[in-house]
Amino acid sequence: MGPDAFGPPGGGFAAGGGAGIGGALPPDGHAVPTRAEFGGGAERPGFELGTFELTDDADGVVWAPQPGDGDAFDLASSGQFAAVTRGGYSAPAGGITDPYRTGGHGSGGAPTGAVGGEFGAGSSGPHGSGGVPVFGAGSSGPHGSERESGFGQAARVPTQEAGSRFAAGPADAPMPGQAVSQAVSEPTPVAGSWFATGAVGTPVSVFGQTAGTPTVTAAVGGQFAAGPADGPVPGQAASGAFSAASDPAATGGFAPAFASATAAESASATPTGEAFATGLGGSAVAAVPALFGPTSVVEAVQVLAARPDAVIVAGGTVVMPDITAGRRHPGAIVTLHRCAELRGWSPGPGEVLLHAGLTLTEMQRQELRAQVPAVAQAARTVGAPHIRAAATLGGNLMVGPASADLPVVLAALGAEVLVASVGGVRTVSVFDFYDRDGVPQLTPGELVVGARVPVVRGMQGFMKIGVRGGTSRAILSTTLAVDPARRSATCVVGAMAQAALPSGTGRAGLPTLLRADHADRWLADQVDWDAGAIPDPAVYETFGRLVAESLVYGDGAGTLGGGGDPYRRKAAEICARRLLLRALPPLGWLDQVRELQRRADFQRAKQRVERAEQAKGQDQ
Amino acid sequence: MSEPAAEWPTVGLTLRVDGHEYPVPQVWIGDSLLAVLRERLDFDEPRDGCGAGECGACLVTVDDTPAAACLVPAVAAVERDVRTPRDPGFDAARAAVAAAGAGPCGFCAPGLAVAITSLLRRNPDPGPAAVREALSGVICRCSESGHWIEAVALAKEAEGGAAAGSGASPDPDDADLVDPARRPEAAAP
Amino acid sequence: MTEPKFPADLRADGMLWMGVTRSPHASAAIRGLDLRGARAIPGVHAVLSAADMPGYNFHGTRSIDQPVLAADVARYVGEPVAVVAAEHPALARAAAERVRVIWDPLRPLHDPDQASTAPPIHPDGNVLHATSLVFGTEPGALLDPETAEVAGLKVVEGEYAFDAVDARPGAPAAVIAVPNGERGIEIYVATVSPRGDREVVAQCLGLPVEKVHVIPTRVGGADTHREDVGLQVQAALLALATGRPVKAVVPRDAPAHPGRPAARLRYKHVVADDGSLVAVEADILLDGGAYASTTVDVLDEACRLAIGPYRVPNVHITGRVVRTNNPPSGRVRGGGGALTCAAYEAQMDAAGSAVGLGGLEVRLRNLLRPGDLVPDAADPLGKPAAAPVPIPDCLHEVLDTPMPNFPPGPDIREYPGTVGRTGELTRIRRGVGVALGMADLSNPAQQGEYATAVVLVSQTPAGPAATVACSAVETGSGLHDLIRVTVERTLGIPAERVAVRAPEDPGSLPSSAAVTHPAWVHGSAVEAAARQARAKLFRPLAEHIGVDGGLLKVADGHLLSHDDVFRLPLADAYRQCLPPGRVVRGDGEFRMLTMPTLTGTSDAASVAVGAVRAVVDVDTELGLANVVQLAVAQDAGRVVVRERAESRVASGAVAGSGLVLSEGADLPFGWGEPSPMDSPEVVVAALLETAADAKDEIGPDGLPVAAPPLGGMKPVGDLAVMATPAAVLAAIRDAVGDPGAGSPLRLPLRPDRAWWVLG
Repeated sequence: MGPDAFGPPGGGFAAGGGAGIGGALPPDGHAVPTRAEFGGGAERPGFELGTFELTDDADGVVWAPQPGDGDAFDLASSGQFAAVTRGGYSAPAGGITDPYRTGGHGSGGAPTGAVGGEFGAGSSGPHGSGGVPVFGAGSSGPHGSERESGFGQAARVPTQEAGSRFAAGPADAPMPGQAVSQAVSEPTPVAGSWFATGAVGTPVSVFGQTAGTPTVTAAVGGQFAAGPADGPVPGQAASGAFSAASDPAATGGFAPAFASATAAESASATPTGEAFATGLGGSAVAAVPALFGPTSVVEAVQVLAARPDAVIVAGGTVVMPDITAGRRHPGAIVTLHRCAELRGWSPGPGEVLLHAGLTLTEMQRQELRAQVPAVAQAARTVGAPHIRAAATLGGNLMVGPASADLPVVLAALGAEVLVASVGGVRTVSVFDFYDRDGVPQLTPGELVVGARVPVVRGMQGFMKIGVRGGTSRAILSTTLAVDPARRSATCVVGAMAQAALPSGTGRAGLPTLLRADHADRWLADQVDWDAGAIPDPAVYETFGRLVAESLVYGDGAGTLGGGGDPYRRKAAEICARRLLLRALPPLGWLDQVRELQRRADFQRAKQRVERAEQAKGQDQ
Repeated sequence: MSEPAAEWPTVGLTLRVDGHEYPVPQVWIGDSLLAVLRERLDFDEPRDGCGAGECGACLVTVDDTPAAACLVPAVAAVERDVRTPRDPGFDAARAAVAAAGAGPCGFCAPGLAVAITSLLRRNPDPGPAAVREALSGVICRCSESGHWIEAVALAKEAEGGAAAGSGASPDPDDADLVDPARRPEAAAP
Repeated sequence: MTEPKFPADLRADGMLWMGVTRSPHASAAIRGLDLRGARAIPGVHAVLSAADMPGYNFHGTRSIDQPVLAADVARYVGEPVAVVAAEHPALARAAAERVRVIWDPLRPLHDPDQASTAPPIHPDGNVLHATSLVFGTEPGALLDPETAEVAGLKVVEGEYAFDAVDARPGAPAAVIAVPNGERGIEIYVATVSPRGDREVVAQCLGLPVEKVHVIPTRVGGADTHREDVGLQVQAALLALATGRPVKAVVPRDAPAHPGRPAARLRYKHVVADDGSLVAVEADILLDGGAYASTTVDVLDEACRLAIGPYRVPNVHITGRVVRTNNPPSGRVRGGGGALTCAAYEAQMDAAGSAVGLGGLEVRLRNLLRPGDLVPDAADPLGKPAAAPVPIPDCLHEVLDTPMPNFPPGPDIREYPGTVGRTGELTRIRRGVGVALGMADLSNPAQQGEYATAVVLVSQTPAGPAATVACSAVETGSGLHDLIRVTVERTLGIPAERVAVRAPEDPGSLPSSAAVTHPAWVHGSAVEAAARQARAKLFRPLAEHIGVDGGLLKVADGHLLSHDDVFRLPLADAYRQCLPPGRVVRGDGEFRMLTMPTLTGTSDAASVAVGAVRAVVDVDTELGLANVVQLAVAQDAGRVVVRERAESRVASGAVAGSGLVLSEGADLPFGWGEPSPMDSPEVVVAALLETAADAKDEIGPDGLPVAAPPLGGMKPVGDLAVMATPAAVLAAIRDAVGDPGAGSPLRLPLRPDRAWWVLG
C-alpha cells in the first residue's frame, strides 16, 4: 500500500516512500551529494552517516588519546588537539582530518565540556590529583562505596608507581616462597609486582594501595580477616560452618564463616568426622569450609588450589541462574566481591589494565571510555542496567564468546588475559584463551584476574545485532580497531546467537571469535595512512566482502561463512563496511555528513513546530 | 555426587535489609539473596519472576546499586546495605507508578519503582530514550512504555525535578549515544 | 495495607517445596522408575509417581487426555514424571534429578505437517480437531487457477508460518496446597475458574468435591490463560502424602503454560480486476503439542476469523489442529485471530498490487457491512454480521493520528538497533502500514463460560453502600474497577462505596468459568445482580406508580421509570426504600449462551472491528525493524472505564508487536518480550462507543426486556493483539518491499529472517 495513502497531511515526508532524509536521498537510500564526488552510481557503497564518529568520546568509533601524554589533553581542550594529534598521526595538510578533529573539539557547550572533562579524566585521572575528583564522580555513581575503592585505588596511584608497577608488569611473577611452576609461562621475579606484599592470608595489593581503601579496611577489621591466625579451626567451623570465624564481635555470631585458604587446608587435613553441623534437611554436614571470601588474589588462588571444585561468584549474572535452576551444584563457593584489588582498572603506559572485577557499568564511564572506547560501547549493549552494574570483565571472559560481547572487542584490540594461580600469573592473548568452540582454556585452580588492553591512537568501533533493542544476546557482534602507528586494522566477528538457549541450557552451535586476517592485511594496503583516510571508495564495499569471506571456520557448521548461515555472513559484511566507514572515512566526507545532519535537524525542528501547532489547534 | 550430607553446606549470616539487621541461620551457600529475602525473611517484594535476571521483578538496591536479587548470592550480601522496594526511599516512585497506571497487575511494579528511583538518582532529568534504556530490564505484560515514561515524570515531580523528559541535563555517560555529527554545527558560529 | 498476594508469595508453617522430575525426551517410553535414590536424601519427605495417584491420572480442558504424571510414556520435553517434596527448593530440585527413570526413547514427531499421517503418539490419535467452513455459490470452481484465469480473475496465493510462542505471564506459575484435616485440602492458586479446577482436582485425587477447596489468589500478567491444572493436583498430592503444606513454583523455562501454537496458514484469494474479492480459500494447521489443552478453541477462532472484516461471496476454510511431541499449546491473548489477521491482511496487500489498486483500495471495496455473511461454526453456511461494523470510522481515526518525527535521532537509541550502534541515518527507511482486524463475540468455544454474582445493598452512615460477591479475579486488566462502575451506574451508589469481595470458598456460589472475556462475563453477571437488587429495592415505589420494579432505572442522580414519567431524586428514593438495617440482595448470572441478547439480534454474528496503523523504521541492510508508533482504533461498543480500557488496548498492541518481531519459544538469544527499550509508542486513537443507548423496553408480555448487558460493551482485550502484527508487517513491506513469492513468510520476523536482507 502506498504510504502516502496513509500518511496524514504533514506526515507525508515521513512516509514518503520511506526514503532517507527528505529529498536529500533517492529511494535507494544513498546520499546524493556523495555521488558526484565518488563517480556516482547507485552501486557505490552507501555512505552511512547518522552515527558518525568524532574525535572525542562520541559514537561509533573514537579517537583514543594516548594516556600519559597529559599535555596533549590540556592542549586538546584548548583547541590545539588537532596539532598534537597530527603529530602522532601525521595527518596531511588539507585533508578532512583537521576540520574533523577541531570540529570535534571546537564543539561548544556540553560537547566541549564533555570533551575537556573526559580527556581531563582520561589523562590526568590516573596520573595526578586531577583525577581524584573525576574518579570521585565515578564512585558517586550507582556502585557507591564499592566503586569508591575500585576507583579511589587507581586514583591514588602516583604516576611513578603506576609506571614501575607496570614496567614490572602484572606478568609472570612468582609468589614469594613458591616454587615457580613450569606450567606457567617463564616467570620473571620483580620487586613490586603482583604479590609483592603477599604474606599469605593478609590482603594483598595487586596494583598498590588497594589494601588501604575504606572498604577493604573494614573487611580486614571485621571477622573477615581470615588469615591463618584466626581461620576457623575445625571445631569452630563445625559449630558450625556458620558461626563467625572465632570472632565474637562478628554480627550476632551469624556472619558467614568465610574460611581462608589455610583454613580450608587445615580443615581438610584434619579428620572432620567428629565435627558436624546440620545442613539442609537436617542432614549432617562435614565441617569442611564451603564458603570463601578471599580479600586478595593470593588468598583467592590459594582457595582455588585447595578447592578446585569451588564455584567462583563475582557478578553472579551467569552463575546464579545456573545454581538456582539446579544446573550447577556448588560444593563450595568463592565470592570475589571482597577482593578489592580485583575492582576497577589501572592505567599504564600505552595500555590499561582492566581488573577482573571491573563492572560493565564502570566500563561505560568517560574516563575509561576515553582510553578504550570500543570496550565501553560493547559494555553498553549487554543486558539491562542492573545486569551491567553486576556483570564483570572476568565473568564476561569466562562465559566467552558463547554469550558475551567483550571477548570480541578485547580480541580486536589485541588484549591479553591475565590468569593467576598459586604458581604465579600467566598472560595469554584473548584468541588463545578460547578453544575453537569458544570455551575458555583454564586449568583447575586458575583465576582470571584481569586483561591488559593496549591503548591505541586509532579509531575503534563496536557493532552488535540483537533483538530487544540490541540488549539481548547477540546474533552477531563485530569490532574494528585501527592502529595508525602500526598502520594496521583489525576486524573481529563474534557469532554468538546459537550459543545458548534462553534458559542458558546447552549449546547449539560453535560460537567463537572469528578473525579476518586476510581482509585486515588487504585493507592496510588500501589506506592512505598519512591522510588517515581511504582514497578509493570502492574499498569499503570490498573490505566488507573480504571480511565475510574470510570467516569460514572449521567445518563451518553453525558458524559464520559456513554457508549454513547466510544472514550472519551478510550482516558481518555490512557491519564491517559500516565500521570501516566510521573509522577511516573517505576524503571530504565530513562536509557531507554535516550537510545531511543539518537537514535532519531541520526536519526534526520543523516537525516539532508542526506538532506544537497541531496541539494548539486541538486545544482550541 | 558424594554422600548427600556434604552436598548442602549452610552458613548463618546477618543481612542488613531496609536498615534493619536480620540474622538468618542455616542459609545454603547457593541461596540467592532473593530466596532468603522472600522465603526466610518473608519479604513479598522483591518478587520472584524469572530467577535469571531477565525480568527485573526482583530488583533491590545493594549499596545503592540496583541489583537483581536473584543474581546476588545471599552470602555476598552480608555487610552490605540491602534496600527492598518496601524501603521508604522508594515510596515516591511507587506512588508515581501507581498513579501512572504502570504495572496494573502489580507484579512488576516494585521492581519498576526501584529502577525508576535508581535512574533518577543517577540522572535527575532523563530524556525519553534514557528512560527506556534505564527501564529496559523490567518486563511488564499488562502495560506499555507510555505509562512508564509518565511514571518517571511523576516521580521526578515528586522529587522536585524539572519538566518531564526534557533531558536537559544529559547523563555524561550517555554522551556516546548522541549523534555526534551534530556537534560541529553546535560549534559553528 | 494488605494487598492480596500472588501464589508465590504465600507461605505456611512447616511448608515443603515441590520438585518435579521432567522428561528429557520429546518422546520416550518409561520402562522403569527408581525413586529410592531420591527418597534416601535427608530432608526429602515424599517422592511420588503416577503409581501413587489415588484418583484419575488425567485432566484436560476440552478433552481429558493429559496425564498429571506421565505413567508409561512421555510425550514432550519437560513432561512431569515424578514429584518430590523437600525442605528446600534446591533440595527438592536435586532430589527430583536423583529419580532414576529408565527411558526407552522413541522417534519424536515434531512436524505438524506429518502428524496426520504419522503413527499415533496418543491413544486418541494425532488429529485433535478438524473443521471446515464452506459457503457461497461456487467456491471450488473459482478457486481453481485455470478457471480463474479464464474468468479473468487474479489468484493470489500465500503461505504464512508462525513459530510457537511461550506464554510467559509476569508472575510464574505457583501453587500452595495446605492439608486441613476434616475440611480436606486447600489449594491457593492464581486461577480464574476455581470451580472448574476444583472438580478436576477432586477427581484426580479421588476425593469428594467438598473436600477440595480451590482458593483463587492474585493473578499477575493481565492474562487469564494460566498454567494447566495438573500443577494443582501434583502439589495437593504431595501435601496429602506428607500432611504438610507444599509449595510449588514452576521455573520459568519449564513448559507449564500452554503457549501460542505454532501455525501454518495457506491462503488463496481470488480477486476481480475491479478489486472485489470473489473467493477465499484458507487452510490452517495448528500444532497442538502433545495434549489437547485449549488449542481446539484457537482453531475454531482462527477459522471463523480467517477472512477478516471483508465481504467474500465464496469461502472455503479448512482447519486442523494436530498432536505432536512439542509442549502443549493453548489459547493466549489474541487467540486464533492473531494468527490469521497477519495472513489475510498480507493477502489483501498482495491482491491490491495484483490488480494494481493498492491494498487500501481493495480493502475499502470489500469492507464487511452489516448483513454480510461471516463464517460461523454453528452455521456452516455463514451468519450475517450484526450491526454495527464501523470500519471506516476506525480507519479515519488511525490515519488522522499525527505521525512521529522522521528522521529519528539524533540519539542513536532511536535508530533500529539502538545501543547495538548499527544505526545509520541513510540506511533507515520508514514504512507505514495499516491493518484491519475483526474479533468475533459469539465464539461457541466460549459458550460454556459463565459467571454468577451477588450484590448486597445496605444503608451506612455515609449513605447507601453495596458489596459485590463474585469470583472475578483482578488480573491487572481493571476488572474490579469495571465492576464498581457497573454497580454505580445501575444503583447510583458511588463506586468508592462499592466493595468487591471474592468469595472465600468458590465451592459455594458465586462462581465462574470466564477465561476469554472475563470483564464481559463477570461485568454482565454483576450488572444483572445489581438490576435485580434495584428492582427489589425500589419495588414499593414501583408498585406505588404501578409499574414493574424492573422498569425503574437510575440516571443523573434520579430514579426514573422507563418512560421517564416518574422521576425522584435518588437520595429520597433510598431514604424511602432502604431503612437502616435492611439488606437487599440481588443475584445475577451471565452465560455466553445468552449471547444474542448482547446485540439484540438473535441470529446474527456479533463482531468487533478495529484498525491499527504501524509506523516502523527499518534498517534496509541488516533487517532490524524498530516499531516507532502504533495507532489503534476499535469498536468498543460501550466504554465503561475508559483509562483501563485504553491501557488494555495499548498493552495488547505491544504484545502484538512482540509477537510479530521478537517473541518465540525457541529464541536462541535471550527473551523476546518487548521491553521499554524496544516497545513502541502506542496511541489509542479511538474507542468507538457504537452501542445504542441502553434502554429497557416492555416486551409483548408486559414484562421488561433488558437492554444489552453493560450497555452493549464489547471486549477490548484481544483486537489490538490480533491486528498489530499485520500492521507492522504491512509497514515493513511498505519500507522494503514484498518478500519474494513462493517461500513462506516465517514469523516472528527476527533479523535473521529478513527477506530484504537475504534477497
